[in-house]
Amino acid sequence: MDLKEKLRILSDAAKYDVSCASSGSRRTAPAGGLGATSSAGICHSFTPDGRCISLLKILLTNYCVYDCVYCVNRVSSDIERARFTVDEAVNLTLDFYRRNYIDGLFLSSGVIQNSDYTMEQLVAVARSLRETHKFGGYIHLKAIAGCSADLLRQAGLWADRLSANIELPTQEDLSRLAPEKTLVQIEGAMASIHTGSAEARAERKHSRSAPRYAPAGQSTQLVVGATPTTDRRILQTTSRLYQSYELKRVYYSAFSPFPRADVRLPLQAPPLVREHRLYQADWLMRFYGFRGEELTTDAEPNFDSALDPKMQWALRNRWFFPVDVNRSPRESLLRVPGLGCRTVQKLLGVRRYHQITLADLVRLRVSIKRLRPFLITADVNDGLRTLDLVELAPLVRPSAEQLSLFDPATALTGEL
Amino acid sequence: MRQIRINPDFTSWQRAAKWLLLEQTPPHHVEWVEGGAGQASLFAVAEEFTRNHPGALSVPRNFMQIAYTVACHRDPHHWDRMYRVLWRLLHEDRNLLRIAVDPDVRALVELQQEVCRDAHHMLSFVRFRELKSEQRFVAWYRPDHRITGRVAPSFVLRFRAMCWSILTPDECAHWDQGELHFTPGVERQAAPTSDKVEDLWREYYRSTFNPARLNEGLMRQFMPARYWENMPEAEIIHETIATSSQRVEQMLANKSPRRTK
Repeated sequence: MDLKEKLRILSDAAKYDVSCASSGSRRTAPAGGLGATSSAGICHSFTPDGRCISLLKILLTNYCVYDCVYCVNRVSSDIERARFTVDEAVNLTLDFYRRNYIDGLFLSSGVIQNSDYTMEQLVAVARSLRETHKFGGYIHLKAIAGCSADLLRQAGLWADRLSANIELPTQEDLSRLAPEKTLVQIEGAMASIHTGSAEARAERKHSRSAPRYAPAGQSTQLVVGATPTTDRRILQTTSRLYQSYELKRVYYSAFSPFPRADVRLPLQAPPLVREHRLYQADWLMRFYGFRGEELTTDAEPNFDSALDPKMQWALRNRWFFPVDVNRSPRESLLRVPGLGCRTVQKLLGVRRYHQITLADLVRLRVSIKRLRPFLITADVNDGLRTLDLVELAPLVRPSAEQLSLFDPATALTGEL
Repeated sequence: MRQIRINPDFTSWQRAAKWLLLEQTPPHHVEWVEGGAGQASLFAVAEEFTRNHPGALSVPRNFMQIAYTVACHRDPHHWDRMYRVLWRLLHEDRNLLRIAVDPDVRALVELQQEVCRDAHHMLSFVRFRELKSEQRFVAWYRPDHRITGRVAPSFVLRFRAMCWSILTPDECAHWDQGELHFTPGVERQAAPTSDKVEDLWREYYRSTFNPARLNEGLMRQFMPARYWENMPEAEIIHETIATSSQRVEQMLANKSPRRTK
């Protein structure tokens, strides 16, 4: 099988892992080496699904001993199989990098022989790039479920980011669809990475020359919509993971049909709006001071597809409003629908010198329609009269037209 | 009204602005004209400043940072915008830049963001092609603004161990693993037209795309079509889009996908 054929099979098999970030690490190659990473990361291309390509995302092999129902590479599927040699993966990365196609490599793999053997292969690619080729670009390695803590320790020395995928939000879901994987095992890998990272940081306090450990931290991914699990349960899991292992990101991947899928899976278009709402909720937890359990209720455990999660929270918690744009603290402004983190930061700067009006907000390109019922400004705001209306939701809901396009920019970032 | 001729670069504007400020010339009395020294032009009466004003003038540092970036902007009206904000900073309010809702400040910050976005696009969308005979990687690129000099050091950081050239219509940047140097702009014919790795790259682009999530508008928003001329993957975009619904139907019908040529 030639290289192009392998690349086709092994990138096709890798694409269901949605993470493609190359950010959060600053590294330059040693003398004579190639590549650097920047804190912002660079998207080098975009595919027609609107997702960015910043890394060469491949599997080392799509042979796998596991039989996870949700996975395209499970052992019982009769898809085409291929395997890269370590040198092939290394040279592809370097060839693409030299031409400015990519920022680095995201390497994962199906499990062959056993977890340790597979992880050794991934580590070998990363080590060759860093040691033999003095590569300074970004490397994201997948932590193979069940591999030894020692291998994860080595992996973190070469990689910028490590990730162990939680795959499904609850143990019941895993038992159903990935019988060979357990939450305990997956979280064991997260805990090892977390420990490695904490130890390396402690050592670097004593000695600046101590090695870094996965400086861009760890992330994880879970599939949404392959099981009936509610948004509330999903957010419970992710907020626990954020707290326990200091994850940098949780990626939500709308379950997407793939060739030769198991009949137990929902063969339908991926639930993109639901995925989008979860990203928005995730942002609210990480940057806006919301706790996961505030965002949904036991009575309504799933997000309304027509309203963003912050608006849904605001409609349930009218007592919290109105908030005064010129006086209220940052934490309160962050809870106003339509005000994003960056806008709030700007407003805090402006209001020391200038009383903010609705017209000022228009100038900052804020959606007035969404925020008027909730915000006191220096001028008269008629919208405040609607705050206590039972039928407020229709007034602040985006038009159907907008909804069908659903803010393309936020679809990627989840920013509000 | 004073007509002031400057080279379209930061240093030239800065020198003129200092003279004008120290001579108490308000912004509405200045008309900025771009053009090289000695260049024949309609503005025969335009003044030029060839030496620095000896006086002292203190300007907020964050303004200088913004102005340095905005100076790369291609729209000639930005010189006036920069001077107006500077004048108001010194005469009206030292904190003016903090007032993000002020129309002049907002306009200046938008210009700055446009230049930064353009610089980021250049880092993203430049595509090198290998010139085996010269052991050099060469790219041709058309930036929206005059950013080649500003962006080139970021390429040095990433491609220190290679010899490379980035050719643009404004100026060309060259790196020979020693120092960065610049030559006048060229047209795209000067650059190589293919590279042996491009075929593999297109294969990757095609395979990493998930047809079940087709969202062409989003792609075009992040990667506007004006950049496609340099990108080897662009030639299969239309084909990839056209075949995606068929690929999804195959998956939903639970069949093995047929290879698309």
